Amino acid sequence: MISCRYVGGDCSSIGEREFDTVGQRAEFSEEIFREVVIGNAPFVTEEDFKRCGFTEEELEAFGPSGARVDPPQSFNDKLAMAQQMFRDVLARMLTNKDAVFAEVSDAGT
Amino acid sequence: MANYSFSRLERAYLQAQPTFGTIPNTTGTATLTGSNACRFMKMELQNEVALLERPDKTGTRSQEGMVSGRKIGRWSIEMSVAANGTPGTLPDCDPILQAIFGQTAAVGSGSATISSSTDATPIVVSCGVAHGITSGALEVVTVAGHLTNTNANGTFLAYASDAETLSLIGSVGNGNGAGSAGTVSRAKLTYTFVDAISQFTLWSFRTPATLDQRVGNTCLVAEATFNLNQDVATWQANGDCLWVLRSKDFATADVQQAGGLLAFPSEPAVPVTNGTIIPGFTGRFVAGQSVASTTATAFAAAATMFPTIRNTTIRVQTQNLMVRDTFGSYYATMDEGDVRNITLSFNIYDDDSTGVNLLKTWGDTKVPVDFVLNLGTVPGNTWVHYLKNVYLAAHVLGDGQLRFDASYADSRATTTNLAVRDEYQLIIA
Repeated sequence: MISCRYVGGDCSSIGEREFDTVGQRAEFSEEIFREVVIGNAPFVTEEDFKRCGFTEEELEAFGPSGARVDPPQSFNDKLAMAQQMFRDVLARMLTNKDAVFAEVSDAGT
Repeated sequence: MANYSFSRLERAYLQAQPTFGTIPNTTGTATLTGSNACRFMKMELQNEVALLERPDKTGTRSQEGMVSGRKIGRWSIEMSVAANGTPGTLPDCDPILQAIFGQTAAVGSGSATISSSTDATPIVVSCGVAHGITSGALEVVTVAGHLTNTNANGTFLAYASDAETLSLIGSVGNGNGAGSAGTVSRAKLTYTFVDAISQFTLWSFRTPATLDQRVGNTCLVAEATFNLNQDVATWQANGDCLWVLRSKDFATADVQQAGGLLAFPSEPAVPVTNGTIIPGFTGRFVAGQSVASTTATAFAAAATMFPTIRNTTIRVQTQNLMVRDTFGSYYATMDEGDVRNITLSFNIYDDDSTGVNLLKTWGDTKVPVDFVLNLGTVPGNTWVHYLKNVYLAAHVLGDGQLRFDASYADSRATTTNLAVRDEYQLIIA
């Protein structure tokens, strides 16, 4: 299983589960994680998420997309960094469709 | 007892289809996955089979039996306008947008910190570092986190007056003085036309799975329509497809109907969808005499935001069709396209302002106009319809409501020159 966090600016639906909060946790099998990322749902691994440096206070105040009013620049910068990590993994998955996750994650590069 | 279906229990899946006539597959197994899911409101998939009747006289007035003729499918879909929500990431409806434009979107990236802004019309933001846009060029950017002069926040077509300065076209300073802080981001998707024709595969799965499931093979977009000023922003598209294959008919499907599949797939277990709706009345309507007929500098300085727009419709007629007259096949064997027809129609409350008078003048003098129509205001879910060189129809005053309004019927957008095909761009930022 891959432990990951939602980093989308809006909301995503995975099966019947809704994600609308930056930092929302999920665990997916490798196969589902691949479908999630290729389906453009912005998730990053727990390790990548930690590297972005979000604080608990930031996530509480600005994590929910519906309540995100004028977040500070520091939060925007961290979110942009997380979303770039997602896009990087997505790009590697799209160009390397048969690779296992370890080969397309940052750990594999 | 037969199983019935609730009309809500239907899901759509979209796949870009690289090869005419071939539903995406690997050695006969459909490559459909949950990642292809896309929410929608209404979908139609239907076949049309001509009937051939023997034209000879029979000696009676009774019609004798007929035989089936050429075969084709049709599709249409209506859905909420919903981007991914994460700037620079493809929306779920991307395969349809690809089929409208003929190619996938260019992905923009990069950002710069803002040091100051002018409390003026338009707002000019200074970055103090290079913003990355070529001087003299126009590009859609998103400003966030700007303080004091907060009207600078949002998505704008920007004019790069130099390497570090951007004019936010259609913006108006909010009168509190110069602003500071924030970033200007170039993360976005830009769909532009090419003349090649792209197609997609449209799947409809209903619950329970024992019902007939369907797939539209080789869907071409003939027309797409975007409406502004609805409660929930929606858009529609329709066109031809090669054939609509039904799961219950798969066993008897011929080669063209099967589209390369050896079996009709079951619905993916975990559909993945993204994004949320846009209040259709949020956004910005900006127009100015076209860059091509003036200069980018003049356009940036003079383009005006119109605050009293009522309804607006952007219609994209690609004129993409199936070729239905080739010898030797019941089915279309290739596609064809004619001149694209991109039109804008809108109405606006009439008043004595300079801007509203300018619209009337442009309609009467046929001076080409560039329009920048933002639908939505949330970063990651703002759809910018950028129409160039529009020849406005002459206005018609209407007194069908309490205030006079001026209506502009379908007015055609045209390319700046034949090499750039820039009559219409869709930017999602």
